[in-house]
Amino acid sequence: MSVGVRSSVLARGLVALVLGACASACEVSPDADERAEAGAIDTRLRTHAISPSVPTPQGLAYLEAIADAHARADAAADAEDRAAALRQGLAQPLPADLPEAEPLRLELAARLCETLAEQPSGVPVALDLLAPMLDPERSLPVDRASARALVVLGDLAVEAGDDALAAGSYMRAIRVMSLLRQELER
Amino acid sequence: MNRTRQPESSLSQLAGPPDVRREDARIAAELVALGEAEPDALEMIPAAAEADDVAVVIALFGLAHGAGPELSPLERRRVWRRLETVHGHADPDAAPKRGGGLWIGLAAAAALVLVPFFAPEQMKRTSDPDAHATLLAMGQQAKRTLGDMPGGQDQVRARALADDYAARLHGAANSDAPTGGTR
Repeated sequence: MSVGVRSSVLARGLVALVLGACASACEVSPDADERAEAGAIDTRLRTHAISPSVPTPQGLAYLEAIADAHARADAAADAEDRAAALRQGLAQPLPADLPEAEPLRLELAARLCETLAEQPSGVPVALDLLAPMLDPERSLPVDRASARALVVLGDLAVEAGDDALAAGSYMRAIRVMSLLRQELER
Repeated sequence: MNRTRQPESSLSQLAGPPDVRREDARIAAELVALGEAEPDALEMIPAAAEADDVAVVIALFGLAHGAGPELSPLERRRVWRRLETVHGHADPDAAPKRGGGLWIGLAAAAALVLVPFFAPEQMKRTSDPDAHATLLAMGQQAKRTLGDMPGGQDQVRARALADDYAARLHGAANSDAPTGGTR
């Protein structure tokens, strides 16, 4: 068996162990009220796949608006202008039956929160925005955007001194990335 | 509910691929033949780790998972230092490819995650420098792993998605045209 193949097999086994450990972590306190206790590390992760929708002109207009919002944010002179562009993107009315929008909204929110965190007193605002979108009760798309948003939430939680939220967020991000990798290898 | 349960598997069971385990078994058999004490799992780590980076990560995972022997803080620090030394002297030509790097990043991050998980009381003490340092390392590892994944450019990704969607929309419109309509 070559080193590469052996490494791949080992890595799969290792990730199975990791996922098993994560599953065990999810069993620690299945009751939501119990998890709400201060200091509890909530590692629950519910996910769903994004299937391409039937394209519509309204859907295209939305996706174009989001791409433009990112372009304006890239060209922004400062953090304030960048945040304004990203807010405008998030404020776009969401058309019906456009599941592709979900990861885009997570990316916009994550980027906005990164920008807010650069500003004085921006961390609590960013936490208020991002934490509900990534609530463990909510299902997240199996997408890089979910992992990125969870990492940003972890960073914000570290800044805010909430180590339990930070650890849970990082762990959930890692699980999303594991799922993505599994999908890529299929 | 059991936060502190120990896994049944031992570190030596986690610490390497079959050929490494065979080598470990051969060493153990020779030591027994010489009347020496059988090596414990900890002593087998460098032998497993020198094979490749994955073995190092597995050994780290085993320690983080509590699968290794009971260690004093000093012994634990020595083990991590030995592992770091082995890892640091790895042949750069034998470094895993990008995909392997991702796996290793995930595994290493997960191993770091499990350290505070199996000691949850540490997480309530934000002033604990060790717990906080572990948390920061976990975040750094998660970010590195994320950085290795494609799609890191927001505008590029959003634009590509919009372009793909537009192509599908126009393709569907063309296929609905009664007489081979063109765009």
